[in-house]
Amino acid sequence: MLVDPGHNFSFVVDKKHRMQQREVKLSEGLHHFSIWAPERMIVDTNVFVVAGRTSDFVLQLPYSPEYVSYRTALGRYETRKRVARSLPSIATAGSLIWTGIAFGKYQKARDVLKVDEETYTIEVDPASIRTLKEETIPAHNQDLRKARVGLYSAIGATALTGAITYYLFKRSASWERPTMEDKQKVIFDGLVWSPGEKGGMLHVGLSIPLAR
Amino acid sequence: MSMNKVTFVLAMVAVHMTGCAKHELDTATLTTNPFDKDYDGAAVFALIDASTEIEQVNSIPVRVLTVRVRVHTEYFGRPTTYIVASSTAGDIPSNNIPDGVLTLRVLNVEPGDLECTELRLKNDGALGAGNTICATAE
Repeated sequence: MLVDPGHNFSFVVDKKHRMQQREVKLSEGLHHFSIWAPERMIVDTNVFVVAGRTSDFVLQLPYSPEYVSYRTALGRYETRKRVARSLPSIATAGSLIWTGIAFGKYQKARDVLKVDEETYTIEVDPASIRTLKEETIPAHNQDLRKARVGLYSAIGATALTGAITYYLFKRSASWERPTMEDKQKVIFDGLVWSPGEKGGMLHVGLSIPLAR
Repeated sequence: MSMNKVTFVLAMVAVHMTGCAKHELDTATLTTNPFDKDYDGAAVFALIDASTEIEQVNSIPVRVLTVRVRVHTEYFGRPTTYIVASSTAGDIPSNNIPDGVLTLRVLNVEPGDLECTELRLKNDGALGAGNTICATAE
């Protein structure tokens, strides 16, 4: 039997014998097969066996509608969760980088003013001191104020995006992951389906353990 | 992250932001350089002593008040050449002020005359700090 998927399919022969092997020996005549694999549809088919001959049975089991729906819902869920977590994380990372750059600019502006202060201390030209106090230092103070506003904005953005990220991580953790109810498995495990002219019949199999 | 941690981080950010305001440089507080006209530190020029003598100038006896003034170069931010602008003797370059001692001479004084000279530091044509030195002729 060459069945896709090849590793985990099961089948019921003549509505009685449940099997999982790749080769099966049958008596001559028409035999009924119900073939199933996880996530796949049950396929019912008849095989006519000729005495003394070995035949290949090739079949591709189609995916079950539940599995297709589950995969779609799972894909949607994962995309939604990924977006809800990655976007704010990227924004937070960007804000952190921005904060780092803004902090660097702020430190640089501070260093420039420190140099101005040192220059004032050692300067021996009154005209240069006047220029330093009336033009250079006020301009550098203005640069520092701009750098500070940039730094505050970056810290604010980082705090905001961090809070949003934290909230969305917490919230998305409670989102329910889609689960698949494999109705085909229920049918295949618990029941044996007999197709008929008016839709067929389900044969219920019941096992009662009597060991104790 | 617990609420306590979040509060701690926010508090640290607030402290940091408060500290940022202190990093600007207030030019009004920059008054320690003697070459700055806004200098308000200790006097750069200090009277050492004054003496009055009769000297012959062109064979004419003249009463001269000699005033020695200390230039406190240790207040400078670094060793440098400088000029002292005097209201009575004009500009005096530092190479004429040995060991930071400036000698001023006022001719034709009368005993009891109070002679005052305004002295200011000068460099590259611009004036810095200074103070007035007064001495009385004998």
